Amino acid sequence: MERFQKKYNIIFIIPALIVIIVLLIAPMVMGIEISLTNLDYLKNTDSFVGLKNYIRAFSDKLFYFSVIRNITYVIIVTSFNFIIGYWMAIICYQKFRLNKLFRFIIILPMLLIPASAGLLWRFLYNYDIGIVNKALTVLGLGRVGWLIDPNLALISVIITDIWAWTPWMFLILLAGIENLDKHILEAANIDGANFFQLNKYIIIPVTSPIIKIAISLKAIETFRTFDYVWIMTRGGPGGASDITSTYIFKQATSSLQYGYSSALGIIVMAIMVLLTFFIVRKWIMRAA
Amino acid sequence: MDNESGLNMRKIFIWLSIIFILAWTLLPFYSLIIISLAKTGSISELWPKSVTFEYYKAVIFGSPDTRSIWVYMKNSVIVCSVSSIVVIMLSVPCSYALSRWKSKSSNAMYMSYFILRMLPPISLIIPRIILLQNLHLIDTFLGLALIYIPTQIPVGVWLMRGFFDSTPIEFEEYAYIEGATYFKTFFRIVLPVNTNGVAVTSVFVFIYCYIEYIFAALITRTNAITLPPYIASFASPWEIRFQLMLAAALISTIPMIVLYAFAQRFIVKGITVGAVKQ
Amino acid sequence: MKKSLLWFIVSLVCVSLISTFSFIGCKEEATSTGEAVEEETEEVTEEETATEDTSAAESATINVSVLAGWVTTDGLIPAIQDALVSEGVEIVKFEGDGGTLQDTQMMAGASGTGEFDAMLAWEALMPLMVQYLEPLDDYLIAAGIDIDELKARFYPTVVDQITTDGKIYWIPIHANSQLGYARADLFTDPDEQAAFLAEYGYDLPQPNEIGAISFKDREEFSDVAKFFTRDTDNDGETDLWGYAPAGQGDHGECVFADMLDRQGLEYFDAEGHSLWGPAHPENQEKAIELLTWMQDLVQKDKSVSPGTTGMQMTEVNQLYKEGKAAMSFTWNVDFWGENTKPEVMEAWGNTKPLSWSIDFMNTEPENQGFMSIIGYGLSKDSKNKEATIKFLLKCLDEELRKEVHSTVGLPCGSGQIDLTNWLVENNLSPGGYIDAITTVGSFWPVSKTPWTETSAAREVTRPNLEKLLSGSITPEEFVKITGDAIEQIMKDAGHF
Repeated sequence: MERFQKKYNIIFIIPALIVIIVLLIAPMVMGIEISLTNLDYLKNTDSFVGLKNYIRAFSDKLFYFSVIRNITYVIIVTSFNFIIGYWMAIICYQKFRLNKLFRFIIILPMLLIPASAGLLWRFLYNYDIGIVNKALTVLGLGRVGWLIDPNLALISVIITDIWAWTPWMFLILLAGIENLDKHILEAANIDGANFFQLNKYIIIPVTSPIIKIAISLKAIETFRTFDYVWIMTRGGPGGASDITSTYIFKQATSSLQYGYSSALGIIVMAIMVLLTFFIVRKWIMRAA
Repeated sequence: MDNESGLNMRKIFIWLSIIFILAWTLLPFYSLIIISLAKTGSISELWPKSVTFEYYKAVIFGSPDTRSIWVYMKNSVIVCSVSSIVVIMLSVPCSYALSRWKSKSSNAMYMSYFILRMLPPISLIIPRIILLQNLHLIDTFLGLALIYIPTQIPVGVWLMRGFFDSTPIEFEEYAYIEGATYFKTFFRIVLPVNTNGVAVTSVFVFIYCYIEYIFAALITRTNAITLPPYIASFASPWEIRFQLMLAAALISTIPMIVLYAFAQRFIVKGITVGAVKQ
Repeated sequence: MKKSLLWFIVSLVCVSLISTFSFIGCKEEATSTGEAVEEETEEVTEEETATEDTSAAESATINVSVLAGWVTTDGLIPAIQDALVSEGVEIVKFEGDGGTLQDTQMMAGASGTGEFDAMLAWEALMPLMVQYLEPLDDYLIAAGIDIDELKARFYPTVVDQITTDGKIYWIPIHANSQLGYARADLFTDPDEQAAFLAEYGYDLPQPNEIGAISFKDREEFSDVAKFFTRDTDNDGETDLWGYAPAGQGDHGECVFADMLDRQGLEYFDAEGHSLWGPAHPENQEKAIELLTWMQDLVQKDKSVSPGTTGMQMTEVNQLYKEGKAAMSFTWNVDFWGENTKPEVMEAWGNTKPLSWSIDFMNTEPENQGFMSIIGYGLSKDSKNKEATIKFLLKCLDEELRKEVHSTVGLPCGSGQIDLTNWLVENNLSPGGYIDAITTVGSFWPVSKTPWTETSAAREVTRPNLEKLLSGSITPEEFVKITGDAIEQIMKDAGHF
C-alpha cells in the first residue's frame, strides 16, 4: 500500500510544483543574476561585477541595524499576535449571543488595505492633532511623540501591525480550536478542570501543529513587512525605524541601483533561511 | 459554591474581554469614519461638527476629479477569485500529499516552499516584469494572476498541511481497509473533515491577493488596475487626499466581508470527526 | 478509482476554461475599439504601427503617460480627448505613480521602443529625459505659434525650465513653488498688531492688496513666529505654533534645499564635489548658519512643533487648518482650494489665508529657490508624432486650460494648470504665488547640473535633516556627515 500511495502522492504534488518552478524559481534565479551585476537605470549600466554588491553590503552599517530591527520587529509582533489572537479565539469559542457578529468585527482590521490603515494610524499618532495624544492630554498625561521619537517610532508601527494582523492569527487558531473533539473538552470539564487548566493542558497541546504553523507563517510574513513602516515613518526619524524592506527600497529607488538592492534582498533571504532553518527543523519537521 | 464563583469569574472575564477587544478593534474604525465624514477636513475631531458625504459620493459615483471605485473593485474581485481558486486547487492536494507522505524528500519539498516564500519582493520585480513583457501579459488579468498564484501556493500548502497533520490518519486507514481508493478518501473523507481549514485558507489567499500592491502597481496600466493602486493613487507625492483614501478603503472591504460571511459557515466546523466513525 | 480521477481532471479543466474565458471576456469588455488598437501597438513594438493611414480614416492612437490620481491630468486629458475627437486622435493613458512612471519611461526611452508618445515629467525627471525627446520649436512654428510670444506668456522662471539649449522641450501644465500661509485673522487684528509693536518695536508685516505678506529678513520671520507661539489653554502644552514646516523625508528636504538655494549654495559644484564637503570648507560656515537658524526655530525658540520631523506637507496644512499653526509652509498649489472652503475657514474667523514666499531668505537678489514643474514632452521614438503634436498644442491652448480649471473644480489639491497672473486675479491661487514663482528657478532642484547621483545625495540629507531638527545632531555634525557622504558618493561614481 505504501508504494501505491506514493504514486498518487506525486500526482497531487506535481501541478503545484510545476507552477512554482516556472513562476517562482525562474525569477528568483534571475534575481540572483541581477544581484551580481551593477544594473542601474540612471547610469545605464548593466555589466557583471561579481560579488562587489555583496562586499559592499557587508560593510554597510545601516544595513546591519535594519536587520536587527527587523528581527526585533518580527519577534515582538508575532508574539503579541499569538497572545492576543489566542485570547480572541478562546473568547469566540465560548457561546454567547452575537458571537457571529463579534467574529465579523474582529477581522475588520485585517481587511483594511495596508496603505490606508497606515495612513489612518499615522494621523492617529500625530503629535499635535492626533487623537491618541488628544486622549492623553484629556487624561492629564502629556503628549507623546509616537512617530517622531527615535526610540518610539518602531514601537508605534509595531502596535499598528499588531492591530492590523492579529485577526489573521485569530482565524487560524479559531479554526484549529474548532477542530477539536468536543468530547475531550467535556470530559476534562467533568473531571473538574478549570478554565486555564483546560487551555494549558488540552487545547494548546492538541492544536499545537496548527499553532506552530500559524506562528512560523506569520513570522515569515512579518519579516517582509513594508507598507506600515514606509507610510508611517518612511524609515525615520533619521533612519531609526528602517527595517530591511524600507532600507532596500530606498537603495533601489533613490539611486535606482537595482543590482545592489537585489543583492541586499538575497542576503536578507539568506539570513531568514538560516535563522528559521534550525527553528523550523526542530519545531515542525517530523523525523523522516 | 466554588463552581458558581468560578463560573461568575469566567463570565466577567469573558465580558471584559469582549469589551476590550471591541474597543481595541473598533476605535480606529470610528476615527476613520469621522475623518471621512468631517466637513471641516479635520483629523482630530472626536465627533464631527458638520458632516459631508461628498467624499463617499465621489468614491461611489465618481466626480470630475475622482474616479469611482467600481471598475477597480470588479477587477480586484475577478483577479483574486480566480487566483484563489487556482491556488486552492493546486495547493490543497499538494499539501495533503506532503502531509501523508512521510519521507525525507517530502520534508525537503515542504522546506523549499517555505524558503521560496521568503524571497523579498524587490528581488523578483524585474525578472517578473520582463517575463510578463515577453509573454505580452502586462496589464492583463492573466498576468496578475500568474504572479499571485505562485506567490500564494506556498501559503496554501503550509496552512493546509497544518490542518491535515492534525487530522488523525485512522479514518483514511479504515477507508483503505474498506477498499476505498486514494482519491476517494481524499474527497469523501479528508476534505469534508477539513472544510474549516480550506475555508480559512481560501479566505486568506483571497485577502492576500486583494491587498497586494507592489505588483499590481507595476504591472497594470489601464485595463487591469485593481483596488490597491487605486487607493494608493489618492496619495500623490505632494499631497494626500486622505478622506477619499479612507472612504475608498472602507468601501473596498465589502467583497472581503461577503467572502468571509460565506466562508464563515465552514470555518465553524467540518463534519465532526466522531460522525465519520461508523 | 478511475471515475473519481476523471471527475478531478474534468473539474480542473472546466475551471481553467472558465477562468480563461472570464479573463478574455473581461479584457474585451474593458476595452473599446480604440484600446484594442492600443493592444496591437503595445504588442508589436518593432513593427510599424498601422495607425498612420493617409486614406479616409486618418485616426491615430497615442500613448500618453499620466500620474495616477492626479487631478490635473484627470481633468486635462479628457478635455483634450474631447477636443481631438474630430481630428481622429485617440488618447490612451498610461497611469502610474511617480516611481513607476520614472522607471517605465526611462526604460522605454533607453530602449527606444517608442512605447510612449507624450511623456510626462517633473522637474527632477526632466533633465534625465530630455535626451529621449525631440525639440518642439519647429512644430510650434509650423502650427503658427510665435515662439517669443509663447515665452512671454509664462513667467521667465517657467520658461527657463522648459527650454534646454535654447530649444523648447516641454509644455508646462503645472508649476508649484513653496509658499507659506498665514492666519489673516491674527495678522490683521489690531490688538495683535499693537502687542507685536510693543514687544518687538516694529510693525507686524501686513498683507498687500492681493493678500501677500513679505518679511524683511530672517530675524523678522523668527520674531513673528515666536510672537504667535502660544499656550492658549494654559495646560503647559503649546496650542498654537508660530510656524509649521514639514520635516520628514522628501518634504523636509525640499524645504531645506529651497532655502539652501537661496543662500547661493547647492548640492554640487561644477566638477561634482559636494559644495559643503571636504572640497569646499569655505562654504561650510554659510551652510552651518542656515542649519542653525532652522534648528533654533524648533529647539531654541520652540516656535515650531517637534512633530515637524514626522510631518509631510498634508499634515502641516492640517495643523494650519485646525488652528494649531499661525504660519505654515507648503506648496502654493496644493491647499489653496482646501483652505478657502467656508467650513474650513470657520476655524479662523472666515478669513482667507494670507500668503508669503521665502524670498526674504535670498542672500543675493539673483539667488533663486526651486520650483516643481510638470510638463509633457514629445518622445523622440514616437511613431505618431503628428498626433502627439496635436495633443501638445491642445495642452498649450489657453482657453482649454482655463476651461479645465472650472470643469475639474480647480483649485483643489495639486490642481493648477494655468501658470500666469490670471490665477491670482481669479482667486485661484494665493497672492504670494507671484512672489514665489518669480523668485524660483534652477532647472535641477538642487544643482545647476543634472547629476544622476542627485537623488542619492538627497537621500543622504533626509535622515540627517530629521536628526538635526529633532536636536540629535548639531549643524556642524550635519555638515560634516552629509558633506563627506555626498563627496564619497560622487567619488565612487567616478566623477573625480
